[in-house]
Amino acid sequence: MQTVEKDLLPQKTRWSQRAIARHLCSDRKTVKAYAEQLAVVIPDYLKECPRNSDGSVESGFALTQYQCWVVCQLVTLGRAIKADMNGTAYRKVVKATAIAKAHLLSKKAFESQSDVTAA
Amino acid sequence: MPRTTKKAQSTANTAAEGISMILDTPVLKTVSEAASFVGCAEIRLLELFCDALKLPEALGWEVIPQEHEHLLNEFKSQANATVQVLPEAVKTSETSVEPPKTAETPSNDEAPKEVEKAGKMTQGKSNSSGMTKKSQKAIDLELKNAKAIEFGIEKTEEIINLQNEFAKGAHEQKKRELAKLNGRLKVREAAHRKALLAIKKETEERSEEDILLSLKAAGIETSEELLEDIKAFSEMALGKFQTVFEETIANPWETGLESDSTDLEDFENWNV
Repeated sequence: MQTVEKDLLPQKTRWSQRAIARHLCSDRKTVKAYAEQLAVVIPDYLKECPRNSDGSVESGFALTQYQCWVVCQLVTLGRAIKADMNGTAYRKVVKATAIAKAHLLSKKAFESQSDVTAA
Repeated sequence: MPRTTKKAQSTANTAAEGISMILDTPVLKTVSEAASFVGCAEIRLLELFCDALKLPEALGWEVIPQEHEHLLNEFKSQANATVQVLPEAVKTSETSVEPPKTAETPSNDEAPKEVEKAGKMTQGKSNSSGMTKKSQKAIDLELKNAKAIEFGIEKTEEIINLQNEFAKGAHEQKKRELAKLNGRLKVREAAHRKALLAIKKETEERSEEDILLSLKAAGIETSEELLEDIKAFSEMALGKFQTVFEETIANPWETGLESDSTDLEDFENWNV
Protein backbone atom coordinates (compact mmCIF):
# COMPACT_ATOMS: atom_id res chain seq x y z
CA MET A 1 0.00 0.00 0.00
CA GLN A 2 1.44 3.32 -1.05
CA THR A 3 1.34 5.73 1.84
CA VAL A 4 3.06 8.58 0.03
CA GLU A 5 1.44 10.26 -2.94
CA LYS A 6 3.58 10.58 -6.02
CA ASP A 7 4.44 14.19 -6.74
CA LEU A 8 5.15 15.54 -10.22
CA LEU A 9 8.52 17.20 -10.75
CA PRO A 10 8.25 20.96 -11.39
CA GLN A 11 9.25 22.49 -14.72
CA LYS A 12 12.84 23.35 -13.88
CA THR A 13 16.34 22.60 -15.13
CA ARG A 14 17.43 21.34 -11.70
CA TRP A 15 15.51 19.45 -9.10
CA SER A 16 16.20 19.23 -5.41
CA GLN A 17 16.82 15.88 -3.80
CA ARG A 18 13.72 16.42 -1.72
CA ALA A 19 11.54 16.91 -4.82
CA ILE A 20 12.99 13.78 -6.40
CA ALA A 21 12.27 11.84 -3.21
CA ARG A 22 8.65 12.94 -3.39
CA HIS A 23 8.54 11.98 -7.05
CA LEU A 24 9.94 8.50 -6.31
CA CYS A 25 7.85 8.09 -3.16
CA SER A 26 11.09 7.55 -1.29
CA ASP A 27 12.90 9.14 1.62
CA ARG A 28 15.15 12.11 0.94
CA LYS A 29 17.99 10.41 2.80
CA THR A 30 17.76 7.49 0.42
CA VAL A 31 17.92 9.84 -2.55
CA LYS A 32 20.86 11.61 -0.91
CA ALA A 33 22.76 8.34 -0.51
CA TYR A 34 22.11 7.33 -4.09
CA ALA A 35 22.95 10.79 -5.48
CA GLU A 36 26.12 11.47 -3.48
CA GLN A 37 27.59 8.00 -2.91
CA LEU A 38 26.32 5.54 -5.46
CA ALA A 39 25.75 7.48 -8.65
CA VAL A 40 29.14 9.25 -8.48
CA VAL A 41 30.84 6.15 -9.81
CA ILE A 42 29.49 7.09 -13.25
CA PRO A 43 31.97 9.49 -14.88
CA ASP A 44 29.39 11.57 -16.79
CA TYR A 45 27.34 11.96 -13.63
CA LEU A 46 30.38 12.98 -11.59
CA LYS A 47 31.33 15.67 -14.10
CA GLU A 48 28.04 17.48 -13.53
CA CYS A 49 28.29 17.41 -9.73
CA PRO A 50 29.16 20.71 -7.99
CA ARG A 51 32.36 20.40 -5.97
CA ASN A 52 33.81 21.86 -2.81
CA SER A 53 37.28 23.33 -2.63
CA ASP A 54 38.85 20.04 -1.56
CA GLY A 55 37.31 18.15 -4.46
CA SER A 56 34.48 16.47 -2.59
CA VAL A 57 30.96 16.56 -3.95
CA GLU A 58 28.80 19.33 -2.52
CA SER A 59 26.21 18.08 -0.08
CA GLY A 60 22.53 18.43 -0.93
CA PHE A 61 23.10 19.71 -4.45
CA ALA A 62 20.24 19.99 -6.93
CA LEU A 63 20.29 17.46 -9.75
CA THR A 64 20.12 18.08 -13.47
CA GLN A 65 17.74 16.17 -15.69
CA TYR A 66 20.41 13.62 -16.61
CA GLN A 67 21.46 13.18 -12.98
CA CYS A 68 17.86 12.81 -11.93
CA TRP A 69 17.40 10.13 -14.58
CA VAL A 70 20.48 8.25 -13.32
CA VAL A 71 19.30 8.40 -9.71
CA CYS A 72 15.83 7.22 -10.68
CA GLN A 73 17.34 4.29 -12.58
CA LEU A 74 19.53 3.31 -9.63
CA VAL A 75 16.73 3.62 -7.10
CA THR A 76 14.52 1.40 -9.26
CA LEU A 77 17.38 -1.10 -9.54
CA GLY A 78 17.95 -0.96 -5.80
CA ARG A 79 14.31 -1.66 -5.08
CA ALA A 80 14.41 -4.68 -7.39
CA ILE A 81 17.63 -6.05 -5.87
CA LYS A 82 16.52 -5.42 -2.29
CA ALA A 83 13.52 -7.62 -2.74
CA ASP A 84 15.72 -10.39 -4.15
CA MET A 85 18.58 -10.12 -1.68
CA ASN A 86 16.36 -10.44 1.34
CA GLY A 87 18.03 -7.86 3.63
CA THR A 88 21.69 -8.24 2.70
CA ALA A 89 23.85 -5.31 1.63
CA TYR A 90 22.20 -4.55 -1.70
CA ARG A 91 23.67 -1.08 -2.24
CA LYS A 92 27.11 -2.51 -2.90
CA VAL A 93 25.56 -4.57 -5.62
CA VAL A 94 23.89 -1.46 -7.02
CA LYS A 95 27.26 0.33 -7.00
CA ALA A 96 29.03 -2.53 -8.70
CA THR A 97 26.26 -2.76 -11.28
CA ALA A 98 26.48 0.96 -11.93
CA ILE A 99 30.23 0.64 -12.52
CA ALA A 100 29.78 -2.33 -14.79
CA LYS A 101 26.94 -0.77 -16.73
CA ALA A 102 28.23 2.79 -16.79
CA HIS A 103 27.82 2.99 -20.55
CA LEU A 104 24.08 2.35 -20.14
CA LEU A 105 23.87 5.21 -17.65
CA SER A 106 26.01 7.65 -19.65
CA LYS A 107 24.84 11.00 -20.93
CA LYS A 108 24.71 9.68 -24.46
CA ALA A 109 22.33 6.95 -23.44
CA PHE A 110 20.13 9.45 -21.66
CA GLU A 111 20.04 11.80 -24.65
CA SER A 112 19.25 8.99 -27.05
CA GLN A 113 16.50 7.78 -24.79
CA SER A 114 15.04 11.26 -24.44
CA ASP A 115 15.14 11.64 -28.24
CA VAL A 116 13.26 8.38 -28.58
CA THR A 117 10.60 9.46 -26.08
CA ALA A 118 10.30 12.86 -27.77
CA ALA A 119 9.85 11.19 -31.14
CA MET B 1 33.40 -4.98 6.30
CA PRO B 2 36.84 -4.92 7.94
CA ARG B 3 38.77 -1.66 8.04
CA THR B 4 41.68 -3.03 6.11
CA THR B 5 41.76 -5.97 3.81
CA LYS B 6 44.46 -8.54 3.23
CA LYS B 7 44.85 -9.90 -0.21
CA ALA B 8 45.56 -13.62 -0.35
CA GLN B 9 48.32 -14.34 -2.82
CA SER B 10 48.27 -18.12 -3.05
CA THR B 11 46.79 -21.16 -1.35
CA ALA B 12 48.54 -22.74 1.64
CA ASN B 13 49.12 -26.46 1.99
CA THR B 14 49.92 -26.52 5.69
CA ALA B 15 48.71 -24.49 8.60
CA ALA B 16 52.12 -22.94 9.13
CA GLU B 17 52.29 -21.87 5.52
CA GLY B 18 48.85 -20.43 5.79
CA ILE B 19 49.71 -18.44 8.91
CA SER B 20 52.93 -17.14 7.44
CA MET B 21 51.13 -16.25 4.26
CA ILE B 22 48.54 -14.28 6.19
CA LEU B 23 51.17 -12.47 8.21
CA ASP B 24 53.22 -11.67 5.14
CA THR B 25 50.27 -10.34 3.21
CA PRO B 26 50.54 -6.56 3.13
CA VAL B 27 47.72 -4.49 4.50
CA LEU B 28 45.95 -2.50 1.85
CA LYS B 29 45.03 1.10 2.36
CA THR B 30 41.43 2.09 2.30
CA VAL B 31 40.32 4.93 0.11
CA SER B 32 39.69 7.17 3.12
CA GLU B 33 43.21 6.55 4.48
CA ALA B 34 44.74 7.19 1.10
CA ALA B 35 42.70 10.38 0.67
CA SER B 36 43.84 11.70 4.04
CA PHE B 37 47.43 10.83 3.08
CA VAL B 38 47.20 12.73 -0.20
CA GLY B 39 45.13 15.53 1.33
CA CYS B 40 42.04 15.52 -0.86
CA ALA B 41 38.53 14.08 -0.95
CA GLU B 42 37.98 10.39 -1.56
CA ILE B 43 36.05 10.87 -4.76
CA ARG B 44 38.78 13.18 -6.01
CA LEU B 45 41.44 10.58 -5.31
CA LEU B 46 39.46 7.95 -7.18
CA GLU B 47 39.09 10.38 -10.05
CA LEU B 48 42.87 10.81 -10.14
CA PHE B 49 43.34 7.07 -10.25
CA CYS B 50 40.72 6.86 -12.99
CA ASP B 51 42.52 9.50 -15.07
CA ALA B 52 45.98 8.14 -14.41
CA LEU B 53 45.16 4.48 -15.09
CA LYS B 54 42.42 5.11 -17.69
CA LEU B 55 40.30 2.79 -15.60
CA PRO B 56 36.65 3.85 -15.01
CA GLU B 57 36.27 1.00 -12.51
CA ALA B 58 38.59 2.87 -10.14
CA LEU B 59 35.66 5.04 -9.12
CA GLY B 60 34.18 2.04 -7.33
CA TRP B 61 37.30 1.06 -5.32
CA GLU B 62 37.08 0.71 -1.58
CA VAL B 63 40.74 -0.17 -1.06
CA ILE B 64 43.77 0.91 -3.06
CA PRO B 65 45.42 -2.02 -4.82
CA GLN B 66 49.00 -2.59 -3.83
CA GLU B 67 50.33 -2.27 -7.36
CA HIS B 68 48.92 1.27 -7.56
CA GLU B 69 49.94 2.56 -4.17
CA HIS B 70 53.04 4.18 -5.60
CA LEU B 71 50.78 6.69 -7.33
CA LEU B 72 49.74 8.08 -3.97
CA ASN B 73 53.13 9.68 -3.48
CA GLU B 74 52.93 11.26 -6.91
CA PHE B 75 49.49 12.61 -6.24
CA LYS B 76 50.68 14.01 -2.93
CA SER B 77 53.66 15.75 -4.49
CA GLN B 78 51.42 17.21 -7.19
CA ALA B 79 48.99 18.43 -4.56
CA ASN B 80 51.80 20.11 -2.59
CA ALA B 81 53.16 21.73 -5.73
CA THR B 82 49.73 23.12 -6.56
CA VAL B 83 49.35 24.55 -3.09
CA GLN B 84 52.66 26.39 -3.50
CA VAL B 85 51.76 27.60 -6.98
CA LEU B 86 48.33 28.94 -6.07
CA PRO B 87 49.40 31.67 -3.59
CA GLU B 88 51.88 33.06 -6.14
CA ALA B 89 49.15 33.23 -8.75
CA VAL B 90 46.95 35.06 -6.28
CA LYS B 91 49.75 37.52 -5.49
CA THR B 92 50.36 38.35 -9.16
CA SER B 93 46.67 38.96 -9.72
CA GLU B 94 46.59 41.28 -6.70
CA THR B 95 49.66 43.33 -7.66
CA SER B 96 48.66 43.94 -11.29
CA VAL B 97 46.49 47.04 -11.52
CA GLU B 98 44.98 46.55 -14.97
CA PRO B 99 45.83 43.11 -16.33
CA PRO B 100 44.99 42.65 -20.01
CA LYS B 101 41.91 40.56 -20.57
CA THR B 102 43.45 38.51 -23.40
CA ALA B 103 46.35 37.48 -21.22
CA GLU B 104 44.09 36.71 -18.29
CA THR B 105 41.76 34.23 -19.95
CA PRO B 106 44.40 31.69 -20.98
CA SER B 107 45.84 31.71 -17.49
CA ASN B 108 42.38 31.11 -16.10
CA ASP B 109 41.98 28.16 -18.44
CA GLU B 110 45.37 26.72 -17.60
CA ALA B 111 45.13 27.08 -13.87
CA PRO B 112 42.19 24.71 -13.42
CA LYS B 113 43.86 22.09 -15.63
CA GLU B 114 47.03 22.27 -13.56
CA VAL B 115 45.01 22.03 -10.43
CA GLU B 116 43.10 19.05 -11.78
CA LYS B 117 46.30 17.22 -12.56
CA ALA B 118 47.75 17.93 -9.19
CA GLY B 119 44.63 16.73 -7.51
CA LYS B 120 43.29 19.96 -6.04
CA MET B 121 40.10 21.46 -7.44
CA THR B 122 39.76 25.16 -7.06
CA GLN B 123 36.50 26.62 -8.26
CA GLY B 124 35.43 30.22 -8.51
CA LYS B 125 34.34 29.88 -4.91
CA SER B 126 37.89 30.80 -3.77
CA ASN B 127 37.16 34.37 -4.87
CA SER B 128 33.62 34.45 -3.61
CA SER B 129 32.80 36.51 -0.58
CA GLY B 130 30.35 33.95 0.75
CA MET B 131 27.42 36.29 0.31
CA THR B 132 24.35 35.00 -1.45
CA LYS B 133 22.18 37.20 -3.61
CA LYS B 134 19.42 37.03 -1.02
CA SER B 135 21.64 38.18 1.83
CA GLN B 136 23.16 40.91 -0.34
CA LYS B 137 19.68 42.14 -1.23
CA ALA B 138 18.70 42.12 2.44
CA ILE B 139 21.81 44.14 3.31
CA ASP B 140 21.09 46.67 0.57
CA LEU B 141 17.51 47.03 1.79
CA GLU B 142 18.70 47.59 5.36
CA LEU B 143 21.13 50.27 4.18
CA LYS B 144 18.35 51.97 2.27
CA ASN B 145 16.08 51.93 5.33
CA ALA B 146 18.87 53.24 7.53
CA LYS B 147 19.45 56.14 5.16
CA ALA B 148 15.73 56.93 5.08
CA ILE B 149 15.58 56.85 8.87
CA GLU B 150 18.59 59.14 9.11
CA PHE B 151 16.96 61.58 6.70
CA GLY B 152 13.74 61.41 8.70
CA ILE B 153 15.61 62.16 11.92
CA GLU B 154 17.28 65.18 10.37
CA LYS B 155 13.97 66.52 9.12
CA THR B 156 12.33 65.96 12.50
CA GLU B 157 15.13 67.85 14.25
CA GLU B 158 14.69 70.69 11.79
CA ILE B 159 10.96 70.85 12.46
CA ILE B 160 11.51 70.78 16.22
CA ASN B 161 13.98 73.65 15.97
CA LEU B 162 11.52 75.64 13.92
CA GLN B 163 8.80 74.94 16.44
CA ASN B 164 11.05 76.04 19.28
CA GLU B 165 11.84 79.25 17.50
CA PHE B 166 8.18 79.83 16.81
CA ALA B 167 7.37 79.16 20.43
CA LYS B 168 10.12 81.54 21.47
CA GLY B 169 8.76 84.21 19.18
CA ALA B 170 5.28 83.60 20.46
CA HIS B 171 6.55 83.89 23.98
CA GLU B 172 8.18 87.19 23.18
CA GLN B 173 4.97 88.35 21.58
CA LYS B 174 3.06 87.33 24.69
CA LYS B 175 5.48 89.25 26.83
CA ARG B 176 4.99 92.34 24.74
CA GLU B 177 1.25 91.99 24.96
CA LEU B 178 1.42 91.54 28.71
CA ALA B 179 3.59 94.60 29.02
CA LYS B 180 1.12 96.54 26.96
CA LEU B 181 -1.74 95.29 29.09
CA ASN B 182 0.18 96.18 32.17
CA GLY B 183 0.69 99.64 30.81
CA ARG B 184 -2.99 99.94 30.10
CA LEU B 185 -3.78 98.84 33.60
CA LYS B 186 -1.48 101.42 35.00
CA VAL B 187 -3.12 104.04 32.87
CA ARG B 188 -6.49 102.90 34.07
CA GLU B 189 -5.31 102.99 37.61
CA ALA B 190 -4.06 106.52 37.22
CA ALA B 191 -7.31 107.53 35.57
CA HIS B 192 -9.33 106.06 38.39
CA ARG B 193 -7.17 107.73 40.96
CA LYS B 194 -7.45 111.06 39.27
CA ALA B 195 -11.20 110.82 38.94
CA LEU B 196 -11.62 109.87 42.51
CA LEU B 197 -9.32 112.59 43.66
CA ALA B 198 -11.34 115.06 41.67
CA ILE B 199 -14.53 113.86 43.22
CA LYS B 200 -12.97 113.99 46.64
CA LYS B 201 -11.72 117.48 46.02
CA GLU B 202 -15.06 118.63 44.77
CA THR B 203 -16.68 117.10 47.76
CA GLU B 204 -14.25 118.62 50.18
CA GLU B 205 -14.52 122.02 48.60
CA ARG B 206 -18.18 122.11 49.23
CA SER B 207 -18.64 123.79 52.57
CA GLU B 208 -21.56 123.97 54.93
CA GLU B 209 -22.56 127.26 53.39
CA ASP B 210 -23.07 125.66 50.07
CA ILE B 211 -25.22 123.04 51.72
CA LEU B 212 -27.32 125.69 53.44
CA LEU B 213 -27.77 127.64 50.22
CA SER B 214 -28.83 124.50 48.49
CA LEU B 215 -31.33 123.72 51.20
CA LYS B 216 -32.71 127.32 51.13
CA ALA B 217 -33.07 127.12 47.40
CA ALA B 218 -34.95 123.89 47.90
CA GLY B 219 -37.23 125.63 50.37
CA ILE B 220 -36.13 123.68 53.42
CA GLU B 221 -35.81 125.62 56.68
CA THR B 222 -32.53 125.06 58.36
CA SER B 223 -31.92 124.54 61.98
CA GLU B 224 -28.95 123.63 64.10
CA GLU B 225 -30.20 120.12 64.56
CA LEU B 226 -30.64 119.70 60.86
CA LEU B 227 -27.18 121.03 60.26
CA GLU B 228 -25.70 118.63 62.78
CA ASP B 229 -27.53 115.73 61.16
CA ILE B 230 -26.36 116.77 57.74
CA LYS B 231 -22.82 117.11 59.06
CA ALA B 232 -22.91 113.71 60.71
CA PHE B 233 -24.38 112.15 57.55
CA SER B 234 -21.85 113.84 55.31
CA GLU B 235 -19.00 112.73 57.53
CA MET B 236 -20.33 109.21 57.44
CA ALA B 237 -20.76 109.39 53.70
CA LEU B 238 -17.32 110.86 53.26
CA GLY B 239 -15.87 108.19 55.51
CA LYS B 240 -17.46 105.50 53.41
CA PHE B 241 -16.39 107.33 50.31
CA GLN B 242 -12.89 107.46 51.66
CA THR B 243 -12.96 103.73 52.24
CA VAL B 244 -14.33 103.08 48.80
CA PHE B 245 -11.81 105.48 47.37
CA GLU B 246 -8.95 103.69 49.01
CA GLU B 247 -10.21 100.31 47.97
CA THR B 248 -10.64 101.44 44.37
CA ILE B 249 -7.14 102.84 44.32
CA ALA B 250 -5.76 99.61 45.76
CA ASN B 251 -7.59 97.34 43.27
CA PRO B 252 -8.08 99.30 40.06
CA TRP B 253 -7.85 96.29 37.79
CA GLU B 254 -10.87 94.66 39.45
CA THR B 255 -13.05 97.59 38.65
CA GLY B 256 -11.87 98.38 35.17
CA LEU B 257 -10.63 95.11 33.64
CA GLU B 258 -13.73 94.18 31.69
CA SER B 259 -14.09 97.44 29.87
CA ASP B 260 -11.50 98.44 27.35
CA SER B 261 -12.78 101.95 27.06
CA THR B 262 -9.96 103.60 28.90
CA ASP B 263 -6.74 103.95 27.05
CA LEU B 264 -3.88 106.39 27.10
CA GLU B 265 -5.65 108.63 24.61
CA ASP B 266 -8.83 108.58 26.58
CA PHE B 267 -6.87 109.47 29.66
CA GLU B 268 -5.30 112.40 27.95
CA ASN B 269 -8.71 113.65 26.88
CA TRP B 270 -10.07 113.31 30.38
CA ASN B 271 -11.45 116.62 31.45
CA VAL B 272 -10.57 116.80 35.07
